[in-house]
Amino acid sequence: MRKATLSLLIAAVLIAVTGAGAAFAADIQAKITVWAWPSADKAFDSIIAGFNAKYPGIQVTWEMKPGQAAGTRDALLAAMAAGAGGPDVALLEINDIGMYALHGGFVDLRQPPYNAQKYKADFVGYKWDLATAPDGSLFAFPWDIGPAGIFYRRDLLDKAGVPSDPDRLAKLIRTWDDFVAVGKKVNDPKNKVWWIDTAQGIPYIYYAHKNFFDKDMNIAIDSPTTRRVLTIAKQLRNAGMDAKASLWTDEWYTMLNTGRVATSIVGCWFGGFLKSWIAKDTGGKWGVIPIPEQPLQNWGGSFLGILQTSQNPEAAWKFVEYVCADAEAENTIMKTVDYFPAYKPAWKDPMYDQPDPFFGGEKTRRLWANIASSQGPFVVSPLDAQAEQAFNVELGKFLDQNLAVEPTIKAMVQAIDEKTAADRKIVLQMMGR
Amino acid sequence: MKMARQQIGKVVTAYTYIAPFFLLFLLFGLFPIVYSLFLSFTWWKGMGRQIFVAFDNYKALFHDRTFYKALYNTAYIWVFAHLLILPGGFLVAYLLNTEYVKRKNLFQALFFTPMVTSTIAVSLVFSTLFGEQFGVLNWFLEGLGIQPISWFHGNGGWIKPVIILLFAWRWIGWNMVIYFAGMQGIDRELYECAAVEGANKAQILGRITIPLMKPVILYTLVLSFIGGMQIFDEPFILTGASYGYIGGTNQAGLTLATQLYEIGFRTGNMGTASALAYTIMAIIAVLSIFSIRLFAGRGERV
Repeated sequence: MRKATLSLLIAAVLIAVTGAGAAFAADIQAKITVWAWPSADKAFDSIIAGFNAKYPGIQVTWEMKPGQAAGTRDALLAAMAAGAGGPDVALLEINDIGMYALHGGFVDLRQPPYNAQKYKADFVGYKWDLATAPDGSLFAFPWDIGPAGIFYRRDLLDKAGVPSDPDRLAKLIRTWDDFVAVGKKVNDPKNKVWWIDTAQGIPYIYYAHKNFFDKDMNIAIDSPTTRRVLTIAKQLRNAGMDAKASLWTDEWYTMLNTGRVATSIVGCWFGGFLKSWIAKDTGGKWGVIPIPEQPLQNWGGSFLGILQTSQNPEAAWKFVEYVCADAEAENTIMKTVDYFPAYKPAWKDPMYDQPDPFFGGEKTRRLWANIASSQGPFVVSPLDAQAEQAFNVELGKFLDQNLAVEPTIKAMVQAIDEKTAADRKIVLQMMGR
Repeated sequence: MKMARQQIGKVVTAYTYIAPFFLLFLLFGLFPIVYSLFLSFTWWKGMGRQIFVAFDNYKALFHDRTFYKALYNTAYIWVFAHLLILPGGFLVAYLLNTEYVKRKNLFQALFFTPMVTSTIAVSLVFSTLFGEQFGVLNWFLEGLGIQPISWFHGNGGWIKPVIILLFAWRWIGWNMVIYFAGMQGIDRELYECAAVEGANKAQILGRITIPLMKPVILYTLVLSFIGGMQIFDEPFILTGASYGYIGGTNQAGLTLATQLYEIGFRTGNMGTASALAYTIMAIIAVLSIFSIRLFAGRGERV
C-alpha cells in the first residue's frame, strides 16, 4: 500500500476509535469546578477517589467560598449575573432554594441527557418538591436533608434524676407538655443551666422552610398547631427555662460546649458540627430523641445545581449524580461529615444500625432515617424563606416582649402577606393559575 | 470662529487626559445608576424574566411596615450618632486648636485611629463584648451588683444605642480632623483683633469661628447624610445572626441599607431593591439640598 493511503487509513481508524470511545461515558474528558462551603470539601475529598475510578477522565476541582452558605450564594449570584466566571456545579442551600427556583439559570435535569426524573421515587418527597420550580423544571438535585430532633445532654439529665436513655426519654416526652414537665426538673438557672437554648426553637422547627402556604399559595399559619407551639414557647420563656441564646454566636457555642443548656432543637448535621468544632470533647454525653407530637421535622439541607453557563454539563451531571444518588458515595459522605442523604436507598446500609459513641452508643442514623420517613404536613413553596423571615421577626417579638398568642398570629399573617404579596402573584402565574 | 490647528490639538489632548475617568464613570457609574432606575419598575430575580410592573415596587415598598421601621431606625441612629459626632468632633477640634494642648499631632492620630480599623472586625469584637451571658460588659455590671443587660434581645431597646456608640466611636475622629483643619485655616489676626475689642471666648466662638467654619460644617453635614443614611456594617454584624433576619428583636437594628441587602440578596427581588435604593437616594438628596439652602440662606443675611 502506498504511504499516503496507509497514513490516511490509520488516521481514519484512530478517528473512528476515539469517536466510538467518546460514546462511552467513562471516557468523558472534562474539567469541572464546584463552588461550595465547608464541610462540603471534606465530603468531596472522601468520595473523589471512587468517582475518578468510575470516571477517570473527569477532573473535579472545588472552591470553598468564604462566608459559608451566604457568601457562596452572593458569589454565585454575582457570577451568574455577569454570565461568566461561575462554576459548573454549585452547592445550593435550602434557605435560598426558593429564590433560586424563581431566579433561574440552572439546567433542567429532566431533559436528556440527564433524565433525572427516573430518580424521583428514590428521594424524600419534600426534597424533590423543593428542587422543582413552579413551571415544573427540576433545576437542582437533592443532596442532603436535615431531619431534626431534640439533642440533649445525658449528663445534665442524669444529674437531675431524669432517665437519659433515649428510648426511655422518648417515651417520657410524648407531648410538649411532657417536654415542659421534664424540663422543670432539669432547669437550674441559679447554676446557669437552662433546659433549652432558646424557646424560639420550637415554633421555628415547625415552620422551617415549610407549611407557610398551602398548595394554592394561601397563607396557612393561622392554625391550631401554631397556637399550640406558640403557647408552649411562651410557657418555657416565662418559666425562665430557656437561655435566650442567639444561634450561631460564640455565646451559643460556649453554652453547648460547657453544658449550660440541656436541649437544643436542631438538624442531624448538628452532630457533625458538635463533633468537629463546637464541642469536640463532649463525646458520649449527648443523645437525641424525636420531636414530640410532630416528628417529621427538617432543618436545613442542600442541593447541587448545574449552571446553564457550564461548558461541560454532562460531566457535571455525572459528578452530581454520583455525589447525590450513589448509595455508597452517599454513605461515605455520611460517615465523614454527617450529611444525611436525601437518597432513600442509601439508608438500607447496615451502617445505619451502628451505634454512635458520641451519642452514648445511640443508633442515631436509624433514628434520622425514621424521622425522615415519618408522615406529616409538609408543603413547600419558593417563598418559604421570605415567609420564614417575617415569621421569625414576629416570633422574636412575641417571646422577647411577652405578647399574646392571637395578636401575634394576626401579625405574622400580615407580615408574611406584606412581604410576599408581589412574589405570590408571579409564582401563581408561573404555576399556570 | 475657526480654531487654529494647534488649538484643536490642545483641546483634543485635554479631553484625552480627562477621558479615562469619564469612560470608567460611564461604564461603572452612569450605566448602573440608570439601569437601576429601570430595574425599579420591574420584577426581576437577578436572572431570567423581567416583568414590567410600573410603580408596583414603590407601592409595595411604601405599604411595607418594615420599610418604615428601617427608615425610623436609620433616622434615629443618624440623629443620635451625629449629636455625638458633629458637636463632639467640633469640641475636640476646638480644644485641640487652643494653645493649652501641646502634642496636637498625637491627639489627632489617636482620635483618628478608629477610622483606620475595619468596621467588620470592630463590630465582631463589640458583639462579643456585649454578649448577654458571657460578655465582658455584663460580667463587669454583675461585679458592680447591677443586673446584666440584654443588649441585643429583651425588648430590643439597647440595640440602637450600641450601634450608635460603635458608629460614633469611629467617626468622631474623622470629623474632628476636618474641623481642626478648618479652624487652622482661620487667620489668627481675627482672634487677636476680637480679643483687643474685648470679646470673650464665647463671643469669639459664636461670632467668628462658627460663621467662618460654615462651609466646613456644611461639608461634614452633607457627608454625614450620605454615610449615615447608608449605615450597614455595624447593624449587619451586630444583629445579623439569629433566625435569618437582620435587626435583632423587633428588627430594632434594621437600617435602610441592611434592608436593601435583605431584599436584594436574600429574597432576590432586584426590582424592589432598586426601588429602595432610589428611595434612599431621594431621601439623601432632599436632606442635602435642604441643608445647603439652610446654610446658604443664613450666610447671605450676615
